[in-house]
Order: sequence, then structure tokens, then C-alpha cells
Amino acid sequence: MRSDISQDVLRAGHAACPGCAYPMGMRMVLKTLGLRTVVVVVPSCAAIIAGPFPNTSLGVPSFHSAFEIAAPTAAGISAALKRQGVDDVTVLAFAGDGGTFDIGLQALSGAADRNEDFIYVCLDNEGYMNTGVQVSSSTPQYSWTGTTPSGNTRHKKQIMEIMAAHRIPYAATASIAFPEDLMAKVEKAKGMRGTRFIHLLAPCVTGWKIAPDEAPLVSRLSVESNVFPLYEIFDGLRYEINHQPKRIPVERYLVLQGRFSHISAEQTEAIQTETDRAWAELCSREMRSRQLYEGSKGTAARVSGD
Amino acid sequence: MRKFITGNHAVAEAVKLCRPDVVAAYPITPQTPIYEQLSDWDSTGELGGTMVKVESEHSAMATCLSASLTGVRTFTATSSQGLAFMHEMLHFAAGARTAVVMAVVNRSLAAPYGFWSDQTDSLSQRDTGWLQLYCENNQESLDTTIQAFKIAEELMLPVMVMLEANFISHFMEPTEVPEPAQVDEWLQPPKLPRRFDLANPGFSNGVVTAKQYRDFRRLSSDAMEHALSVVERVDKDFGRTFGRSYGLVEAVDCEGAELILVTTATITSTARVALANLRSRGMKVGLCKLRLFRPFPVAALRSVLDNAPRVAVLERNISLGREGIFCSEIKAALVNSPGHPKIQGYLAGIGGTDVNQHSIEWVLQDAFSREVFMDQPIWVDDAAAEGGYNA
Amino acid sequence: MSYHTFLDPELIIPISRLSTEAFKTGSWSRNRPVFEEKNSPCRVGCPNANNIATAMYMASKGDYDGALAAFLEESPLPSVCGRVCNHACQSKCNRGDHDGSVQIRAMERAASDFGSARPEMLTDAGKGLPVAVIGSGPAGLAAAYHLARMGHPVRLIEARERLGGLLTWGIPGYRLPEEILNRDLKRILSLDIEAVTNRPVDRAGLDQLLGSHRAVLLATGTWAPTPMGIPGEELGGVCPGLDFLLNDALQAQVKGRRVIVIGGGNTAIDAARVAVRNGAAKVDILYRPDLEALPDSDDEVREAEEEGVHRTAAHPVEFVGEQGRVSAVLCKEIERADGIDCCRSKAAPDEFSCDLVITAIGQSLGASSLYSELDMDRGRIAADRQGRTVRTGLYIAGDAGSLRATVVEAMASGKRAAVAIHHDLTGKTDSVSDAFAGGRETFSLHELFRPGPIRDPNVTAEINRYSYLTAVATQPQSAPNLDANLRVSGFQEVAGGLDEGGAEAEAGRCFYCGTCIGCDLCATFCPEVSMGQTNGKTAYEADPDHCKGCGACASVCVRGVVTMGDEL
Repeated sequence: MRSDISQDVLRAGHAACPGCAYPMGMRMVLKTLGLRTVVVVVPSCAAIIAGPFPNTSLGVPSFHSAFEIAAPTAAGISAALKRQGVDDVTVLAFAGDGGTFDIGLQALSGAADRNEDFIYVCLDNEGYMNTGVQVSSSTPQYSWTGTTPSGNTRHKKQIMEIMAAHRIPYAATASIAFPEDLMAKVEKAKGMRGTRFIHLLAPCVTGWKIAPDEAPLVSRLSVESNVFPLYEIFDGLRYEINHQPKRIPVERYLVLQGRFSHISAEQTEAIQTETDRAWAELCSREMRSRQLYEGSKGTAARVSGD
Repeated sequence: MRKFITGNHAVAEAVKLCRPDVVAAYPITPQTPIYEQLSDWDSTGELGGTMVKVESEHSAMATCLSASLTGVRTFTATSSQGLAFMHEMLHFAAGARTAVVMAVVNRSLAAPYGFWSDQTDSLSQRDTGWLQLYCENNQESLDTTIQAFKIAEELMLPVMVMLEANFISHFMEPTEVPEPAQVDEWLQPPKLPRRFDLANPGFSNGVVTAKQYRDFRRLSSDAMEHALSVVERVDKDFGRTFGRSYGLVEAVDCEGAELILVTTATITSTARVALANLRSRGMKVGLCKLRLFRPFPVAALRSVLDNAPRVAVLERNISLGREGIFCSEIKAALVNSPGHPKIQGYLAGIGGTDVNQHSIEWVLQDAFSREVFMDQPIWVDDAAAEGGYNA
Repeated sequence: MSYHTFLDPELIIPISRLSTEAFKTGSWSRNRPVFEEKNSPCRVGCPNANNIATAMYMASKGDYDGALAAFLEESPLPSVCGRVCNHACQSKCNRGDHDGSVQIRAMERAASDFGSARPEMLTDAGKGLPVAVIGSGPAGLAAAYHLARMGHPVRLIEARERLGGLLTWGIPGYRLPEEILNRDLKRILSLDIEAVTNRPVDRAGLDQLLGSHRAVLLATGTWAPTPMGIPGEELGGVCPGLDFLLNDALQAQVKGRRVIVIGGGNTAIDAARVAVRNGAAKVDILYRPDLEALPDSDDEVREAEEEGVHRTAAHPVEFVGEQGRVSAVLCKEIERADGIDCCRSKAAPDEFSCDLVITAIGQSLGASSLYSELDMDRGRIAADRQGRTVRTGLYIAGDAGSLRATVVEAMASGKRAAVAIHHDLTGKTDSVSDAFAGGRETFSLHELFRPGPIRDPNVTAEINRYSYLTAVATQPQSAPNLDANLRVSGFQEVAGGLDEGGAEAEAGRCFYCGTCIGCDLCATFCPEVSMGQTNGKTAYEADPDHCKGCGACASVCVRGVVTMGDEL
């Protein structure tokens, strides 16, 4: 039962802001993976949540590594555990969008290229929130941040496409607003070997300028408005859309967030257009990949894992 | 078994003998042959461990440090730019008390680009918390690498083993490669703490307060201080088993010498010849080879240099705006010595230029006869190398 | 510091082995979640306060026994209401604006068709006092059912030869088949109820009953037709609607004839449809849009029209006769202005020729010595909200005391009277009955007799935004009606029922507003790992040591059970 707190790996008493989506996501991921897990956190709100010495909210062996090396740190632990004959432990890396899209991209790319054996969960709150809300390459267009006071001019980087290009066995988007979907994906990833990447959107109450109780709602809207569709990519080739969104107008998603309070009607329209374009593209990718790779379950890549 | 091999090959042999669990590396000239040799043995299964062929030196160190924290034996090798790129991770590996062993092939740092020997790359990492050992030749590189694992794993501190570009890395020398069984006997499997023990979960490296930070630094500092005796003991122990030991410093003819030349690494070999030549001509000169740089062997050095009236430090590196880095360190080490030798620094071989017998003799004669000891280093120019000392 | 401290693996780097639970982050909080089950909008919309959300939840899991038991908590007639109720509940459904109300009536039918359950006793049996109930329509049946559940032996007295009152005599079999009604009756009579039929009660009988029973409930209904009050009403061939429905001989007369039914309500529609089924050549309904009560649901109008009944908005002013028999109805034509029907007379009245006229413009109490000492109010017997008349020990329920003439209203009034009788007999005037007497529209009998809090009457009328996003839009399930051509040849039930799969799917559409179904979302979303089920399986509670009061739990509680409390 999900509410059984005794089964939780994440503990209470951490220092996340009230309503933060990070611990929601971390909780769901960790609970699914269970106690035979080693966790790597890197500087991000996840590291704050992990706790100040000598206390920790993480109930499994874990390590606070450097900002840009979540992936190779996980790879090192994974390789070393195997050398020690430990083969049934999941090595999990939690990194923020800065540590994934920006400073950690090279290291992640290297590890993904080698198909190192770990699950990498990018807790994406679309900016450098731990340092007080600055723009990252994950920040959506037009969004306010402390370093884009008049709105971000760039599009959000397509990290899933980057990960797919590495042909890793599994990449999936997930949302805290869809716990069953998220947990099923983590469970699925747990059963595979190699580099498994989960792009988990986790709204920042402070940085997105939303009310403390709105992270689930805003997350839900991000999916239902198609801004953040839920899908999986197997072996970097085969796309599967997991949730047919309601295609709610993006305005309903944007209007809840103070970081978009300054945007014009034209900009809202532009976001809608881009959202529609991206969705159409995703759908066509899915359809095309289904035609090309129907029946290929990517089992080879998943079993060999190296 | 005696083999005619390059220094890089010698290091690779040492690594293989030590049965590393995780090796992570990235190619960079002139270290690449180590990486290639280990990869060869990895592909044939002779290496035994896991090779992680990372996308950068930064990730190489990240991989090694986390593997080391998991409790296994780890090795990497790099050079120059790669070492500089690793810099952040070097602090991390030391602060996290890992036992990573790294071979560094000393090479000049860009810009401008060069591929030749220069120690400034590793000396720039002086304050990262790593032990640093500088090797004179292929054999010493092999032996020191083996010693390094034992030192690192006992202290839970990472160790850098320096060999010079080309002069060691690519020059072939007859090298004694120990029997695997002998090394297995001497170097037991690592008994490192397993930081990711499921039975005893803990969160390593959480955020600390200022006071806690100071206290952990203090512990690392104490460990470094203790390292002096560990390096010495391990070296002697190695000597008992393998018949070769090197000390923290090596003193040649220093007793009663009026001038002692301090060198490191390959310059030492040439200096040995120059020294013998000048002594045969009646000059009372001695040679002191500095092998361990971090922790700095102050006591060992003082026991050699304290009573010498003159000291010349000859080195292949520079801290721009000051002088050779060893020279500054030696001056500082001797500041409390009662005899307080006069010390002159000489820069030779920067960028990998040749330091031959002539230029060393020039240095010795200059220092022997010099009336004024300068605070600034003296650049030993090509004329000295070609013509010797004619003053 | 000992010599080896700097080599002690446990001490040389920061390794956190203590829990952050030591940090009482609950002190950050300004308010905390409150777990409180509430009445769903449908339950509040139901005059009888049926426990719909629970029933839906049970049905969604395929537990039709549980679903039926939930309906039986408040209602004796789920089989009946599952067919003929005007389902005010459905118009309140939070799904209405989303993708269509949950088909609650169809679900009540499904529960009664697929489930089986026994009525639950509300008190220990055998401690009650004898009560007499006069009349066995929905009000009388409900009162008898609930009183028996409260432990009072009931004598149920019916004037006609069969139980059921209007359910038996006023609702044709194509809407409510006899065997369906009997199913509910059988369940009711399984309780401590002595039912007697063919026993009209006169004034003397009433006095006698009041002497032998501690309380007597009058649930006699309204059986007298309301006259049109226009010329020609005395002509042959003009008969009141209820008389028509009651009288097989009258029904047989319509074969091959032209029939006009006057009125807009259920009785009018039923009279017209019965006439069709008896072979009438032509059936017209004339209704006065500004005067008539409209039928309970549009479905019935549509079904009647499918069966060939023609409806015209018209205002009869005279019945014209030939040789003492009606031959035509003269009407002022109804003009349509802006699409709205209204009565505005034209110069020349329209004439509708016919062989038979059925007037069905409402029922009235009629004259009876039973009511002679009672106060009257707008043509009905006056009583307080719980049915206490001016005569001690005499209570009223159903149409005789109310103008709200629906089955469910009658049932609800029977329930209210049962509570009044129970409280009067047991000397209870607790806060619940006071609050109820003070103006609550609905209340749960089940909760009244169960330990624990009574649900706040305030409803989750405004469901939180999250639920709309959680719920995938799905069309309500429906079952096809009997083909119109088949319908008119007999009295077979017209409305189709959902099959079990359809019912399960439909129940799955319910948000279960106000009712915790243990969906766990509140606990799952708690970023503080501090929300959990603490009180057995019934309640969620936030750990005050760690709850930061963010409100995420409340924001995802689709059912409005978890809400944020007042500032601490």
C-alpha cells in the first residue's frame, strides 16, 4: 500500500520547501526501488533534502557527489559493486536539470554512451532553483528567472532526444502527478540493465511562483496541456506515448505560474503553437517508430547491459 | 622478470600486478600508452578488473573515487591538460578519503601547446590533498606504483605517481618486473571501508558546518602528517621483499659537502654523472634527490641539508612570479634550521628542454663559487648546456 | 584525538547515519490537513440522503451486495427508485459539468438487480414500542421499514387488496414491473412488520389504533382528482387520470378511440401511454405549460412520443359533448413567443375532437373523517417538518402532508416521521434531531444510529480542480430501451438496465465525493512522508511533527475529504 510510511525509503524531517515536488518524486522513486538501492545525489535541492551531517532523509546507502558527475559516480559504484559480487542492487542517481542538461551533460553522455548500469532520474524543476532561481537550458521559453528578468529567450533543451540519440535501453518522461505511471516506469527500469533515464518534471514552488499546494495540479496540467507529454523511448528507437492528454490549452497551465505572469497573448500563442508542433512531432515519431521497429522489444540491449 | 620496456609500460605492468578492480581512463599524450596497454590486457582478460573507458579525465576521477568509496582498488592515469581538467575531482577524491592511485606523466600545460616534460602540471595540484611521489626512472615508476596502492589503502588518501613525459614514459629501459605471486603476497586485496553497505546505510559526504569542516580538514591533515612514516615504512618493506627501496629523499655524498644539489625525477640521473665528474675533480658536492613532495618530508630533508653551507635546487617547473616550486618548498623547510644554508634556485628543462651533464655541471660550479645568492631563480640557458661552465 | 582517529573509517568523512526525522519540521506549518468525510452533492441532492458515493464505490469494485447494502442504509425501495425516481441527485453530480453525470438511478437499479443484502438493524431488536402505519405507499413503507429497523414492531395497514399504494396502482408495469416492486416489498416485510390489506381505516378505527399503539402514522396519500373546473366536465367519457390507471374496465374502453389526456405530469404521461397500450386509435396530450407540473424526466416524454403520443401546448376551456358524451375539447391556443410557450388567447378557440378525455392535472386530499381534527395547510395536512400533527401520537407522511409528490420525497418524509416517532417514544431529543428539526434537508439515518461523527451537512459542491484533471472524460454508460413497436403491444418494462460490466464502469466514473475510498493520493503526494492511515483503515492523519502544511494532500483529494484546517 502506497500510504504505508514504513515502506518509505525517504524519511520525514528533510528541509525541502513546503509543497516541493522533489521529495514527492524522490519518495515515489525510492519507494518503488526499495532498500536494495544505492543513491547518488549531486548538488541540487535533492542534496539539501538528503540532509545535513549527521542526519539524513535517505534510508539507503548514499553519496553526495559533485555537481556534474552524477552519472560517472553512479557508474563507478555500479562497476565496483559488481566487482564485489553484488549484482542485485540498483544504483540510482538523482540530479537536477542543471546537473543534467547543462554542467553534467558531458558526463551523462559518456556514461549513457557506455550504457553504464544505473538508473538516472533527472528531477527537472526547470532552472537553478537551489541557488535561487536562475536560467538553465531546461527553463522553458518566456519564463522568468533571476537571470532572465524579462523572460527566457531560448526553448527548453530536448534532453529526451539527446538521451535517445545514445540508444540507451530505456528513457522515459514522468510526472509526479501520475504516480502510478511514474512508479510503473521505475519498476520497469529496475528490471532492465544499462543506462536508464527518467526525466521527471518536478515543479519548484518558489521558482515557478505557485502556491505550496499546487505542484500536483500544475504537474497534471503540464501533461494534460501537452507541454510535458508522458512517453517512453526504448533503445533510443521505439517511442511509446503513455498518456493521451486532454490537450487543455497551455494558457491554463501557464496562468497558474507567476513565472509566466508577464507574458503577452502572442507569447502564450507562441507557446501553444510550439506545444502543438512538438506533440505532432512526438506522435509522428511514435507512429514511424512503430512501423519501423514493431516487434523489436529491444531485448538484446536490455539483457546485455554493457 | 627483466623486461626492456618504456616507463608507461612499466607502470601498466605494476597496475596489472596490483590487480585493480576498477580502472577508468581517458587518452592523453603522453600517458595514452598506459591506457592502451591496460586496455589490451583488459581485452585478453589479463587485467581482471573493470575498465571504464570514460569520456574525460574528470569522469575518470569521478568513477574512480566512487568505486574506491565502494571499497575496491582503483587506478587511473593522466597528464597535463587532463590533470588540470580533473582538478576539482582531485580535491573531492582526497576530501572523501578515497584510495585512488593515479599515474601522472608530467607534461607541459597549454598554452602554448607542448608535449614535453614539465612538472608544473602535477605541482599545480599540490594543495588537493594527494600524496605526490616523483620517479627517477622506469624501475622506480613501476616500484612506486606498487607501493602507492599500499600507501593509499592504508591511509585512505589518494596517491599520485609522477613519471616524466618521454624521458620515462617513452624511453625504454631494462626493468625488473616482479613475479605476480610475490606482489600478491606483498599487497593484499584492499580492506577499504565499504561506504555503500546495505547492512549499514549512511549518507556519505553530507553538508557540514564550518566547525565540522575544520575538524574533517584537521583529520586529513593528521593523516597526511602520518603519511610520512607510512611512505617510509612501505618503501622499506618493499625493499625487504623486492630488493629496491628509494626513501623519502636520497642523499648522495652529502656528508661534509660544501654544496648540495637538490633534484627530482630524471634530472637526478644526469646529476649523478655530473656530480661524480666534479667530485673527481675535487669539488665537495653532494646530491639530494627529493622523491616525496606531499606530504613534504621536512625532517628527512633537513637531516641532509641542515649542515650544508650551500644548496642549489635545480628543477623543471616554475610558479610564475616566483621561482621553481621545489625551491620555495625547500627554502621554507629550512627556515628554522640553525645552519641556515644559502639556497639558489635554477630552472632547467622547462617545457621539456634537455638538461645534460654540461648544464648540471654549470649549475654546480655556479652555486659553488657564487657570492651572492639571489631570491630569483637562475634560468639555465642553452649556452650552459652546450659549453659547460667557463667562468 | 586518538592517534588513529584519522584512520577510523567511520570518523574521517561525514557519514550521516541519523534520521532527519529528528528535525521537527512540523513547526514550519501554519495549518494542517483535516480528514473529514462529507456528504456528497448527490447525497444532499437526494431527498432521502442515499449513501450514493459508498454504493458507487462498492459497485465499482463489482461488489453489488455492498452497493445494495449502502442503498438500504437509507432506502427501503432501491429496486423501485432505481426505475422511477426523478433522480434529483444526478443534477448535482460533480461530473455533470465534466463529461456527464454519473447515472445514479441506473446504478441503483443495477445494485438492486445484481446485489442481495438484508436490511441492517439500527438498534437491538425487541426494545421498541408498537407503532401503526396507515397506508403502504412509499411513505408508509419507508416509515415501517425504518421503524422496524429501530426495533419498533410495526402494524402496516393497507385499504386496498395489495401493498404499495401509488407504486402498485399509479405506476404502470412498463415503468415498474410488479415483480420488481415485490422484490422490495419482500425485503421490507422480512422485518418485524405485520402487514394487513383490505383494511380501510375510518375515524373510529384511527381512534382505536391510537389507543392500542404508542404512535400512528398516516400515510394515506392523495387519491382525489383535482377538477378542471370548466364546462362539460360532467360529460360521459371524461374521467380522472388516476381512476383510469386504477380501472381495467376504463382502460378497455379506449380501444380504437381517440383519446385526449389533459395534464403535463407523470400521471398524464402514464395515462396516455397506457391508452396507447390499450389500442387507442390516437392519443393526444394537451398540457398547459404555465400551469402543469412537468414530468419527472424528459425521458418519459420522449418515450411517450416514440410510442405515438402527440403533445400539444393548449389551454382547455370547455368540453363539448354530443348526447351526453364528450366529443371535443375547446382550447385557447398557446402562442409561442421567443420560443417560450405562454398562454395567450386567440380570437377563435381551437377544437380537438375526441372520444375520451382523461384529466390528470393533479391529486388532492379529498374529504375524510380521518383528518377532521387536524389543521390544514394549502390543501394538505399541517405538521412540523418531521410529520408531527397537532394530535398527540398522530404523525403524517407522504403526499397527504406534502405538495412534493414524488416517490423519493414520500420515502424521505416516511424516514423523517420514523425518526420523530422513535425519538418521541424513546424520549430522545439529542442534538442531531434538533439540528435536523431546525432545517436540515437531508440526514443519514445510518449515521444517526452509528457511533462516530455525523457528516457535516456542508457539501463538497465545489470539487477541487485536480479531480477534473484526474478524471478521464468518459461518456455515461447507457442501456437501450425496448423498441417502441414492441413496447406498445404490452406492458413489458421499457427502460433497459446496465449489464454488470457497464454498471461497474459507470460506478467507476464516480468521484465518490466526500467519501474516502482509501485512494491514497493524499499520502502518496505528501512530500513530508508524514501522511498515513492511522486509525485502522478509516482515516488519514498527518504527523504533526513533520507536516509543513503545504496542502498538497488536500489539493489531490478528489473527494474533498482532506481539506486544510484553520491557522494554528
